[in-house]
Amino acid sequence: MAPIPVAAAILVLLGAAVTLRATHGRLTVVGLGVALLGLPLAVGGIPDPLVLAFRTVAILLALLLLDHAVRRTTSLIGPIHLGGTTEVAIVLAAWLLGLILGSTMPDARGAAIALATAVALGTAGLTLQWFGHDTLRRGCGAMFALAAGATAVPAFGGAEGAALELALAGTLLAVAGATAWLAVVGGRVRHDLELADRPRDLRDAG
Amino acid sequence: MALLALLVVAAAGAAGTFLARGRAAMAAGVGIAALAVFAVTAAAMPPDATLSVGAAQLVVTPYARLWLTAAAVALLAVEVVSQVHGGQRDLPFAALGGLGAAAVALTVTDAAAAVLAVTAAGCLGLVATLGGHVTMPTLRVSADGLRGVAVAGAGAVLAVAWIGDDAIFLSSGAVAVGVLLMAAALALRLGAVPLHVPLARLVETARLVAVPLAAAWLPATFAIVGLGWAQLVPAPVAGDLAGPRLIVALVAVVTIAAASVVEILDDDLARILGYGLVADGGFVLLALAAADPAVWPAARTWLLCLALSRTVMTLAILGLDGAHGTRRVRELHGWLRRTPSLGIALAASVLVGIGLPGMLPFEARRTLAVLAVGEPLGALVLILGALPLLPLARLAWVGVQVPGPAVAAGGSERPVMPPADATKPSTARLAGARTIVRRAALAWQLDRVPIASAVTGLLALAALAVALGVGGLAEAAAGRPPGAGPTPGL
Repeated sequence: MAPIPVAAAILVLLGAAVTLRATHGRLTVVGLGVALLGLPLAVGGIPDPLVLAFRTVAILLALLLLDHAVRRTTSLIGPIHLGGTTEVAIVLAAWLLGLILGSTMPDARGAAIALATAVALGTAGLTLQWFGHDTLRRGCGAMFALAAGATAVPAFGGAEGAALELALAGTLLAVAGATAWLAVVGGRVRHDLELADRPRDLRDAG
Repeated sequence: MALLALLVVAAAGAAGTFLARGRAAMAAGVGIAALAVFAVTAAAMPPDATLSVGAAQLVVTPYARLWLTAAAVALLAVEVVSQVHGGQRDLPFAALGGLGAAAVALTVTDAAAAVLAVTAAGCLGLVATLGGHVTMPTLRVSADGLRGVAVAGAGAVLAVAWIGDDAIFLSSGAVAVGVLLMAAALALRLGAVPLHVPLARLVETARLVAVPLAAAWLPATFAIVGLGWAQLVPAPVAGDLAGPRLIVALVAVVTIAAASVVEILDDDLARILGYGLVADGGFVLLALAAADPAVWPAARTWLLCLALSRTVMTLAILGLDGAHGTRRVRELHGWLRRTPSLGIALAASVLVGIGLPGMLPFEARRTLAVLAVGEPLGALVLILGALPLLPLARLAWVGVQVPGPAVAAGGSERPVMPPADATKPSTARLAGARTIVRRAALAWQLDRVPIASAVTGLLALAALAVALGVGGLAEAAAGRPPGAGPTPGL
């Protein structure tokens, strides 16, 4: 196995684990950033510098939008329903499963590390979507799921063209924008990022 | 260059409306101007205009041009009517951003990039769903909408990755998995049963002016991209896809039947609209259930009619709500006497959405139903799909009766004559142009109901013209699908 994709895949997993476990909004955003910025290298091959630069700038802008939303509302978010450790274990198991599936693919065009990373990231995205109960985690889950889908294209032997990279960059930015907008508008209603029913804040609760 | 100009108009318009969103009137003005320019630019694009992005291209097809023009005109009408009813600050930004991303999705030759672009459009469209007084339920339906858009997009990209141009796996089982994955993504995005709750709640809870963009045009664009992939998906090397097609057909028929029954039982026009959209999604799924290639042009024809019909219906409901302060059928006695233009618009929306034998939407729906489930079940599906005519007939019956309290106290479409001193130009101080502007501003203040009805009526007539074949919808729908790879010779 080539060392760069393996190292990048570990970085992506670390980022996903931080996003799943963190209960501080800005740390969640940092984890998301580490995972998304490391992802192109986990796919294998050296990306086109111009496309990589565009994608990096788009991801940094997306992170900036999410960080802005967190700072406008609250830094503290509740733990995910299943528990961060359980989620991380599920994502690691998904990565291993993806690696096994990728290694047994009947065609040399398939990429095992890329497939494993896509499966792990997709699992992280779906669990964040279903078990996350705040706007930030929902947004991070959406970005993970879409990035996983795009990573699956080269993982299954498809061509990873500039159009796909640019479209992914634009989509991640659009998801981050919509998430930040939801967070800021929601923050006006109840001063935090929660979507579940509970008192508006401690003053209301008292 | 024409396509680049279109994308620049969308980007500049979205940026302009975003920067001006602190000033509602300016944002609305920029948005209306940008949508008008977008519509003109889209209509002026030559067929087969291209733009290269690496190995992929953006290629303008007649269908993409017609779709983008129709969408821009429809959303322009929505924005004007929205301003009549108090405005929705984020709508122009969401509409222009969504249209720009949809333009990329409908023209790019890379199927995965097309799915991602239409997912970005869906996310931008959701920005329009909140506005004014925000509550937790409205926030939650928007968040659920974002989840639906993202998960459907991820599922569709995965299907494209799994069975792409040069797929590794081409057994019947592998292709079946890809088709079912795309069907699930379409079902989630279009709100098919049992995944209909987010869409129904979005239409019921969110601002009604956002419905055409977030629940009709952008989901329909997603369907065009998804069905384009399905049209090009390679046949399995052995076996067939009878099993997955049967499952998809079953989901589609149950969706049409259940949503139509809910429409009959309900009294709230917004809920009737919401479940109408759910039933429309069932007809789209029928395209995936059919094996005959004749289904693809029919599906593309139906998708444009669906979006136009639901836009007109939304504007008519907004008009009724704005004029009479209610959208419940039982409180709308006599509405047709006070707002007849809205009645004409609703009738046009029915003709565009269901149609009469010989009309494009009717024939498209018949083709979808018959090719998916055969005869005589196809005829039954067609009848089930026409059940929403019953609540609309009830609405018409209520409308011709003596006006009830809500309608009697509400507005009518008769223009209000401005006060004499306001119409009399003071030539000594005011130039003619200023007088015209002043009269227009006064008319805007006094005649909101007639203006909204007029805009709705004009859009209804335009939609009817498209459904009758003006603009070449039938020929355009028979062309190449989005994501079809680079055009030969380019």
